[in-house]
Amino acid sequence: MIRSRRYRRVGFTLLALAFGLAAWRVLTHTVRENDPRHVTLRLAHWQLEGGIREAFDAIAHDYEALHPDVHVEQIPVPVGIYTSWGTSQIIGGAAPDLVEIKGGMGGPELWSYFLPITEEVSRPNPYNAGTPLANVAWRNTYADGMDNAYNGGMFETYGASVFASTIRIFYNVQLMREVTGQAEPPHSFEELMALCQKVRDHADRTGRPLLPIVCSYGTMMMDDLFRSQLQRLASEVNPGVRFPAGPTDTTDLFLSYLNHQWTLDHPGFHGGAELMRRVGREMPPGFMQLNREQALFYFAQSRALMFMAFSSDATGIIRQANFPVRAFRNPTPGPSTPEFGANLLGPNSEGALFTYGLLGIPRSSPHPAAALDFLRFLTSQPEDRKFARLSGSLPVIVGIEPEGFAKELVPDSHGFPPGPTLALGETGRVFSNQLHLLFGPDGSSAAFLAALSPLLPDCMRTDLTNGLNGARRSAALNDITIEATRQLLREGTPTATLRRKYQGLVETQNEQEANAYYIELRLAQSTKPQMYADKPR
Amino acid sequence: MTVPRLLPVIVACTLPWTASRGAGESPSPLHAGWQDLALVNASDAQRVFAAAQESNPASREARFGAALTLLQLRSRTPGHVADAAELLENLRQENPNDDIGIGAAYYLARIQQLHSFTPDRAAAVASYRALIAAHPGHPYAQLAAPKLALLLLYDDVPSAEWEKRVAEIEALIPQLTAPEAARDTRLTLGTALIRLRHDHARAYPLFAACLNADSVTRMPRLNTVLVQAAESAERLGKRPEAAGYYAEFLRVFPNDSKSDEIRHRLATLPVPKPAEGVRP
Repeated sequence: MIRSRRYRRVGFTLLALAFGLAAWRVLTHTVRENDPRHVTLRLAHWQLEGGIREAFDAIAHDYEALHPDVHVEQIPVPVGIYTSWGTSQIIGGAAPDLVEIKGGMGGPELWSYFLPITEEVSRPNPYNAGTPLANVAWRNTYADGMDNAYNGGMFETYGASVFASTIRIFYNVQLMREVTGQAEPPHSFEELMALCQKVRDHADRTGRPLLPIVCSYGTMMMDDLFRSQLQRLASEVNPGVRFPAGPTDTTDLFLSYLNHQWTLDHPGFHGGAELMRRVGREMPPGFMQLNREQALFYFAQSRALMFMAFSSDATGIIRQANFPVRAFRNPTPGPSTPEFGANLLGPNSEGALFTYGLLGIPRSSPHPAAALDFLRFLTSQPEDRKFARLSGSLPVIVGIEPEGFAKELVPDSHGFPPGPTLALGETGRVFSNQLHLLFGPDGSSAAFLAALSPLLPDCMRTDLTNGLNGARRSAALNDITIEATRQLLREGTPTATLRRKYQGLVETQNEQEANAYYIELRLAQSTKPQMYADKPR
Repeated sequence: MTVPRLLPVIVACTLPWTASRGAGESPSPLHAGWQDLALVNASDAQRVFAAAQESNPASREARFGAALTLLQLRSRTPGHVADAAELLENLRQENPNDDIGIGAAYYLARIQQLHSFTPDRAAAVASYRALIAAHPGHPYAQLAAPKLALLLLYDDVPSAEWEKRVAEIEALIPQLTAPEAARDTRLTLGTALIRLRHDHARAYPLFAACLNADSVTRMPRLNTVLVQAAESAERLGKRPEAAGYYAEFLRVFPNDSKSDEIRHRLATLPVPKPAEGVRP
């Protein structure tokens, strides 16, 4: 009885202590929040790769040392819920001061929730003082000229990015030596396939469970191979220029298919499917469902020789592996490779460094000026150098040489642009739903393409119609933005930026409308046996 | 020094500028409304234009702004579009010849073409033609030119009719004095000639004119137009011009995914090579 009373007393004391501690935390937090002398800047992002949060913390620490009355907090949110979380935050007017903008967030009027910083990016970043970029416009300090932050529809720049990534195959150097007797990676697709065979032979010989290669994000990693096979086809069906239209622009590929210019028997399409099947055969069963952590587990446990992943995963991979790691570019077949070579016009060019993970300032931010200042600090040359070093990611600001391992992750602009990805929209969904026929135990590219054939026309039409409607919505919205900009130009002294914006908005809108009418016309032609206009080559 | 501490300094620095704006060219009371619309903030713009109409019911600009705001609302309904059309029609009828009246005619055509839930293409073509004929040279008539071009060109009509339409647009181009109207009408026509007729001979001079006038402002568009002009020039046997456009492409987009192939094309063009960046 006495013991039970004592326990109860201890329990109540602990409860009171916990309550007191919680109350104290809430109180100090509230006091700090409402203290006009202090600013708490919040930054939400979904980059949970190893090294990123630590890098953000280090930069925040530097900023706080320079601005003692500002406290920077990061809010890392898992990618699976980020879009819905971010949408509710920005629409509800309760978003943090800086938000990593993600596709699908906020709907078609996403940009109306963020502050444009077009004027600001045309001026030098003050935190670049004392560096060779001191007098360079902030926009031009970026390796990609802030392309990712620029919205063509609005002709405005929204925020700044701090991430850049490529796709690389990481490998276990120790295991490579054990299997092949040397540490050099394969330099061609044929060598990669031969290496996979060697790994299988080694596993059979030693009885050790060893896989040639694992990857996360399913077929996203094999997209590169498929797109390489579309180089020639996508260039031929592009009526404008002898190049594929763009990495995500499937307009002419789809329109030409619907207008019976090519079929799924085309060697490029067949080659793409076959390449994916061959690489898929080297992956563990069920690899499509592997997430990053599971795939990394295989690799870190030395149960797979290679790990195909984003370069932004490099730090996490190196930290978890207790063996030396190197990386190489996913090799595609060369133009002389039988069966596949004829579909190629060169190796896939990765082009210029493309940044992503745009940090935008929501209109509802309580501290927009401080958020802008922190963004400038974060993307200054010295801090980006530090960010790249700590996170292991590629620097986004010019004049920073990648250090150490990051040298193996730099994009390679040698070669020919690949065809567009088929992983997006309704077509992407249908494509992905049939992949079991490609990767399953009895899978074949013929079975996969046969199943895809009757489904493709409808989903291509849906994607084209969605694109058309999107372009029209955007053009309608721009109509009024153009008029408002024209009215602002009429008043007072127009700035060069405003004049450029007007010129650009008009240009964008006319291009969008022309594309929409072109799609409409060619879609209509595809359903009628004989139309007047000539069909593209 | 911290950002909040800097704020008074920033305010102090901007005060003289604000004062000079107030003393000199004071912005119109509707300035805030246009600013909101420029940033796709229709709900705030609606309040500004409503207040302006309340204080000055005769203000044509306020009524014009209010009509256009209805077309930018997030929850736009057929009712909003009909209300906007009615407001614009009243403005046009009151005075069809002042800026607001001509602007109203232009946006009535845009409603017929784009904003209406049941667009009327033929009516939009007729409205644009009437606007261009009635007010040649007016900024709204210039804005209408590329719209008319794309409506006429992206239409499935017999070849003879299509050629008549091309001739109508070609005749319009010399009248266009606004750089953006001249650029977009040329680009619309040039792109349609390539996409629908593969007619490089007639498309090339249109692209070349835009590039020579430096009027293509969007980098993704410039990227395509430079390659388009170079390829058309190459097909037409204009090798020095083709080489010039390829070289210009490499100057502006040295690390593009197309750059490596373009370097190869430039190296294999049988002409004296311009240095990268030499304009044709």
